[in-house]
Amino acid sequence: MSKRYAFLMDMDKCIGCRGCGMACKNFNQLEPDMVWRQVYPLDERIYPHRDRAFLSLACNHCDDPACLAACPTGSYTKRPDGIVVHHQETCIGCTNCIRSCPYGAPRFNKAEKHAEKCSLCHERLDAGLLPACVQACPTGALTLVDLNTFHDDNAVQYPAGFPAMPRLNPSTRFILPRMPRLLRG
Amino acid sequence: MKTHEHLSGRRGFLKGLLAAGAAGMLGSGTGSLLRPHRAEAAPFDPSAYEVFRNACPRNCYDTCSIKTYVKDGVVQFVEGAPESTFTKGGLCVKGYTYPRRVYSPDRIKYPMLQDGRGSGNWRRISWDEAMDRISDKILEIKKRDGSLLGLGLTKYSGNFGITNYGVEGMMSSLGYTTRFVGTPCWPAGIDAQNYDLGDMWCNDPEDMVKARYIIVWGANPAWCSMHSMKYLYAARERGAKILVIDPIFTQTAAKADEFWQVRPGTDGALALGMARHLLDAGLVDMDFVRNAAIGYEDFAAYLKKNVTVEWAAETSGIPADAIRAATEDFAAAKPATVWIGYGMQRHTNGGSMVRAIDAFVAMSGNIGVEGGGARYGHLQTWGFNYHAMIQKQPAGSVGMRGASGPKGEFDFAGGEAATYSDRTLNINKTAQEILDAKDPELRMLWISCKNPFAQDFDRNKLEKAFAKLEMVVSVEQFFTETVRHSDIVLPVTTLFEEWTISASYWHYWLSLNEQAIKPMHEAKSNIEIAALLSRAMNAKEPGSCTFPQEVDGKEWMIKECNKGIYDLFGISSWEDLRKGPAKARLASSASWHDRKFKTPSGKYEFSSALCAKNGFAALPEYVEGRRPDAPFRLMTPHIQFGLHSQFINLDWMEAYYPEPFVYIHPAAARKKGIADGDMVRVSNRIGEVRVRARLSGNVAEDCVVMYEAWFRKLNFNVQNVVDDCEADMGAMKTGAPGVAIHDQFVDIAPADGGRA
Amino acid sequence: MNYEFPLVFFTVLTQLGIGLALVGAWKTCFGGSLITRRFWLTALAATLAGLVASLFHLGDPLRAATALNGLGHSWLSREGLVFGLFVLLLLLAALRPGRAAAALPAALAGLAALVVQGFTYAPVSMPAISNGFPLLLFVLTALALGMSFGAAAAGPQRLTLSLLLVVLLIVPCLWASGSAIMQDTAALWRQSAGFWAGLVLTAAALVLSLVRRQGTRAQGVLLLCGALLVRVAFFSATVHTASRLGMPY
Repeated sequence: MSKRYAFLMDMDKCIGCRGCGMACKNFNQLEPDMVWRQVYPLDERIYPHRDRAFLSLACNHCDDPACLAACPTGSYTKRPDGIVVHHQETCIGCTNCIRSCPYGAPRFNKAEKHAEKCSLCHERLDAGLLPACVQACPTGALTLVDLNTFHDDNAVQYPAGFPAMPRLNPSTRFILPRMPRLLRG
Repeated sequence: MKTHEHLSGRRGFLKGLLAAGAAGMLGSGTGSLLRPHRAEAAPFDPSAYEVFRNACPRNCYDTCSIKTYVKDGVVQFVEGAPESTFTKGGLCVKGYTYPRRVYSPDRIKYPMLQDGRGSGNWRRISWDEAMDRISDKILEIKKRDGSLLGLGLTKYSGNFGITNYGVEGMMSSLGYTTRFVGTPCWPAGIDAQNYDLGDMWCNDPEDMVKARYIIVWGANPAWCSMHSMKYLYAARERGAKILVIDPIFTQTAAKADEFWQVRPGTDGALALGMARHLLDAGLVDMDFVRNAAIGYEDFAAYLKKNVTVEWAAETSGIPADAIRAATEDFAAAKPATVWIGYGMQRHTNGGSMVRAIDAFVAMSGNIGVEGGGARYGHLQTWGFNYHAMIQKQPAGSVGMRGASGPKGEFDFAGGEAATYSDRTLNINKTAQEILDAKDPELRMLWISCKNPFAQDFDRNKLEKAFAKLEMVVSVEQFFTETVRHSDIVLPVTTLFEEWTISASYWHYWLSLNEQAIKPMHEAKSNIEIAALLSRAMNAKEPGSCTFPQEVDGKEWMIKECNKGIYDLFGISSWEDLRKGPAKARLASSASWHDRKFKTPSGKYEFSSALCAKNGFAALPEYVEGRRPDAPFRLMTPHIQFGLHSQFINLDWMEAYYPEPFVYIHPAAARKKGIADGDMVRVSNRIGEVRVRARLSGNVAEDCVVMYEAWFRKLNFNVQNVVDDCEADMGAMKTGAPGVAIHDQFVDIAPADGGRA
Repeated sequence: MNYEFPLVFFTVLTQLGIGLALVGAWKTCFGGSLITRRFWLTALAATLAGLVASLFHLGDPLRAATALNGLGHSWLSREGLVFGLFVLLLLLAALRPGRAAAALPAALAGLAALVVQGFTYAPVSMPAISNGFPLLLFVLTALALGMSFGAAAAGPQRLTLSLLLVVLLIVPCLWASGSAIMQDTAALWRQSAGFWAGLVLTAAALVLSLVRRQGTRAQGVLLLCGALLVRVAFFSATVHTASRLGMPY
């Protein structure tokens, strides 16, 4: 049985350092203003302390990806292991994938006028290495799992702050953040 | 099939290669108009790269061991060295920007001369012309004053690679000069630990996993020592409790079991209250206080007479029952540890607060215990030769009469028993010291590994002070505010372009830093610059500079190593470090495990005669903090995106951190008529900062927070409103007292009509 | 802010072409009035102008033809195909003006193009318009534009214009009672000057239609400007889920 790769994002461990995103820029040699992985602070209505809990999101490598469906040039493919790959060399920069992805994964490269997104570092996976962001995470908040074998009762697919899209069935799973007991002076 | 050139060259640098790749794709002939050829990515092949060992030399707990992947002479990407259990294969958000830093279009590329300081009229000059002008000036000063005391050096923590102490060496090789000594960072705590324990020596941070109770007190490792977080988490998973004590609800606090928002500057009272409860509840480790310590009875008497838990609660704002409960849990947990942060000692009473915490940990019996300890920092692994630093003054050099004291915590040379010495000025009062310097006046300033306009205090005063200087030379990589206030700027190498070696003041790993690429543009390392200057000086006046006129970076790196270092790290030669960083062979992960303290008494000193001799109380007594002179306390701690003034200026970092804020409590903002995102004016008697407000309950109502930073496109500088008020301790071990960075007070008001 | 002007002009101008084709076919088949070649060429010109505008939306317009590669899954690909067909049939109708056999296929292709557009511009990432609203808006816009420029009978013209106005007024109100992201969309549309200006111009076109018995060019121009402005709001003020990651949905 083939794997279905997914990111497991443990918000309880995440410190919002952005090391994941910068490691991605560093390895994938992104344009200076470009990011494939962004870290979003949770709104105070979701986590009561501002800028203290985060969603670290790149591509969620959906089961039924909106980007792939929207792309008129067939520049998206899905590998048997679940990774959604964007092929920059056939992309004509119509931005329909960017309009369509609910998670903002594809972004427009202004310098080269095409879309691009997280590849789950499949070149690294194929060489037996972890994705750059996962390797970079200093707290173990970002890990790579195989959804076909992954099981964790605490893991959720749609935490608050992450739009539920059952039709697309995004692969990323999340662990929710806890809060300390507070004594204020 | 032609593979997708996944990493076909650093963009903008190897355009040629990219163009060739594109041409190859066009000509591949397998595509058609409707079905263009699509390349499939081949697996990543690490063997296609040359891999070099580097080390992050910044002023950071983590001092990461780096693996640098180079192809075609170009740094392609970096990663953390997996061999170090501390770095564990991952760098931080800052470390991953290094490939941009070295190839940044903003880098200073060649020596430049500014016609009129601050004018922006820079023009390129040759290294020869730069050295000609600089050596002329030095010789002129010597002629005019009869000494080189008019030549000053300010250098601190911009690059801790050991060979960079060659900058100090360069100054010594010219004669007796003026040195800015001390540290704005951690001096009060260093002295405090020296009074109590005889040295600053912390446990191996990796042994925190063994702790059953961890108090992170005034430190924010989630931002400032990210690699330590995994040990806190591991300890917690093994059942440890984590308590964070901080005036700010930090990112570390958000990850704790419990958070105490202490009133700033009252941590000492809190620690003393906890110590008193140890006493009351009979939880004192009598074996330790009787056999391994002196002065305990006096301290216990002081606690009984002057301290109650209720008083501590009232002073610190933390409820008495919480203080009692945590104290009991801490004492019951074996081992238990306190991580004492540097933030907490940046107060007028900072040293006394660290001493109070040390005393609490000592009474609980956790000193010298694996997984325990009052952790602050260490310099146990810094036993290098300081070959680059230790240079002889030219014969006949004249300076201050008498031997000099310490030149900083990293001065391992020891005071020379010479007739003359350097003039030392307080680095924490740079502006005032320049203004006050007499006989001779400070005429020329050499700046390296430091950005005074971003880091030194009272920026407006610093501007006046710089106006007094006749020549300012900056050794830099970017056009900082300090460079703007300089006459000549010299381009210096990055970590990839020089050989050096780096140790940490927190963990116990040692990393080699290999030269991975040829220096970009005309950049030179600090020791190469020193050699060039020596050549220019000696050409004009033979014997005027003792620094070697030829240096080889690799040889000089090797000259820093010695048998002591090799034995400590269990390596036979520096070349072993090419296989990966090495960790010190420790008899125990605990500092002071043999209870042989380096104090005059050889014991833990609750009562320190040395401390009393230096003008403080012998006991870790409570000292009140600085009195406010404005409505809000201002704190200017560190953010994860920068290390002081480094990293935030890079366009890569701007992608994640584009703009600074002042953080203010929503209730306080409401009273001031400030809405989220409003432009505000943060001001006090020495200056002002204009910045956008971000409303946040993470700060107390009477507190505002700005994170220190240098943004290349913004006129943002927290030092406009941070004065040079002294912390209590620090002079003994570092040459100057610390700075009360977090005892600053400001008012805040909407600016430019608020919404901007 | 990204106004997506190429998409604004593309959708509105092609909808003008489609509207004209629908009116032309109706008149040819049922109206008994003579539709001139000039009429069909106008529809063709509007459509081609829209298609040219759409090219400006591409990073690499020279490879626009590769956009037909995704017919199996991409509504955008299908849009390309159906507009190709529509242009051909318009050309045919222009060659044989007055022939129902030529007019009807063009009108049917136009209707198909509207349906495809209704799907293309209703992405799952924009909950406020990930429904039948784009189709409704596009059909009413096409009809209103076609009738105004194509001098259709006053009754249907007024009815279409009124319906368009009602839909534009009611839909944002419906959003306001929907999810957080729909509420945000409603708020942004209400703050959008383009939306209100577009509404006023559309209303003005209705007033003109009520005053005069026949559609005039002035009415058409008013409506066209109104439609373009409303479309600016459609493309720039509709909230994308990705713009509020980390916030409640």
